[in-house]
Amino acid sequence: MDIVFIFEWLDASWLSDLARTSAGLFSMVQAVHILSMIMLCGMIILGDLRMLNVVLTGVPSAVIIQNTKKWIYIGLAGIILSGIYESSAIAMKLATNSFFWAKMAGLAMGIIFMLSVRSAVYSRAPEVIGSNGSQSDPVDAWVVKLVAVAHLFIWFSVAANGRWIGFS
Amino acid sequence: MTTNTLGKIAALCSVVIIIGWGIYWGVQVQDTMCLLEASESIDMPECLENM
Ligand code: HEM
Repeated sequence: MDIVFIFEWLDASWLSDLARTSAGLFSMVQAVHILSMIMLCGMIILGDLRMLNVVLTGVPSAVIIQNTKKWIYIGLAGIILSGIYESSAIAMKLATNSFFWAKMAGLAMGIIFMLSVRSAVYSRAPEVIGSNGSQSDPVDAWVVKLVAVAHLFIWFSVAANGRWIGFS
Repeated sequence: MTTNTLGKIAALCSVVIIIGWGIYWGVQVQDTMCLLEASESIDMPECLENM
């Protein structure tokens, strides 16, 4: 499937003109991109490290997962919107940039893994991890920890590939 | 889905992700080391041919 036309369209759009002509606005959007990443990855790291029994072990894991959910979505919305703006300035470079595609693949994987496997496994965490009270049918603790590590690895790659676009 | 099935699927997906991650970043680090070597030597290092 040839989707270069999307990048050509973005490259010729008014958004691209704006992004290329206003350096001040561009740097502000870059700040939004980074701050959204801090919000998104901060909340993700909090939940995953809780499941690895590293941080906030006195707080039930279900409370942490439930309360970080909304901020993960807000972070995602901010990072995707600011990302599209940043992309418009360098659309034709991105169309053939392997780090950009690795980042997009990682982002898709991260969102799918977070909403499916992570969410299902964390809601069935055993008492040794969750301190949510006893669960009738919990997932093994090592599976919960494996999911936490895999999830952290995915988002690390998204962030590292994001920065690598600029170097390539 | 039973907890047993969920546990198996989750473990399998996670292991695939972790191994894939290791391979991806392993290759990136290897390529970076090769470029570093190329920048420091006058002759073209062998590793550049496989990049
Ligand atoms: C649809 C979603 C996204 C798009 C279209 C997008 C696009 C971009 C673009 C075009 C750049 C500028 C590259 C450059 O010229 O230096 C960038 C930078 C960056 N992105 Fe994203 N991005 C998205 C999501 C994310 C996510 C989810 C993360 C992290 C978890 C992330 C982390 C970064 C980082 C660390 C940088 C480098 C700093 C910067 O230049 O602002 N991005 N992104």
